[in-house]
Amino acid sequence: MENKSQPLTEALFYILLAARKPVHGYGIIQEVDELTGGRVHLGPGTLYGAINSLLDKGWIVLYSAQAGSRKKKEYVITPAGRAVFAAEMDRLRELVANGEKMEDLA
Amino acid sequence: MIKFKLTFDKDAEQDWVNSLCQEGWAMTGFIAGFFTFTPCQPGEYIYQTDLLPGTGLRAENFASYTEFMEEAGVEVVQRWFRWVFLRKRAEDGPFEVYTDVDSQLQMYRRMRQMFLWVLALECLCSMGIWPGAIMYDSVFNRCVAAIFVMIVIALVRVIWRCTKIIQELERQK
Repeated sequence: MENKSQPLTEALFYILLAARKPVHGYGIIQEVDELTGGRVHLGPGTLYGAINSLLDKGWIVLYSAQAGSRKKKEYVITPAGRAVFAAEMDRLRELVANGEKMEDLA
Repeated sequence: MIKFKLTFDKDAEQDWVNSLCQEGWAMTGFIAGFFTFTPCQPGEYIYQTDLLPGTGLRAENFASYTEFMEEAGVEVVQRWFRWVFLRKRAEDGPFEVYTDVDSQLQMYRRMRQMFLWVLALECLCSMGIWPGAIMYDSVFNRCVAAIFVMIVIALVRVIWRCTKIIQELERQK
């Protein structure tokens, strides 16, 4: 069983974020590029492995739009995925809040 | 153009295919060490090789892999067992299949596991050769035995190389 308090990798974090609405594979690559100004670029192999791992964990699911309307597979976050994402956001907020103490003495 | 190159080293093979593309030869097919090339603009494509998820020589879900890659704008040029050749047009920007340490680690672990399977199979198959090569003074038997030994050495080398890369990637984590 995956430990939910374990930090997410940047790839997993951004895939979960992109999947807040139904999104296809290439859409994830483009959105992550845009959000990070190209700093985080997901290679297709990295994305393929990460998506399969997220599907296995039940953090995202295949989103079936109207049958036959589009062929491209789309993915969307699940409640379990949202819970993991929220826990990660709490961890990151704590990091930033603690990190700001660095400036307190200055 | 047809060229023969037998290597178990995915990265060396990828570099070789890309260097030929720089010279104006685009790889279009591969089977058992034989590569086919057609003329192209020098540097028209960027090639990457990949190893499909699976066990031993068997790949899983090639159809879903191909569908995914094509949707991401990547052309699947050729598949041979678990070996896959991918390419993108160079004008579309940089192309790297694995862009983070975690996925690179998974790929090299997969590759090492596959070659360990191949090595085990190779050793099992070669058991029938040794009595002939040792007991009968036959050039044929000894040549076959020598080829088996060379393949085993090549496999051990690639497994060793994977292990070194895995250790290096683990250090980077």
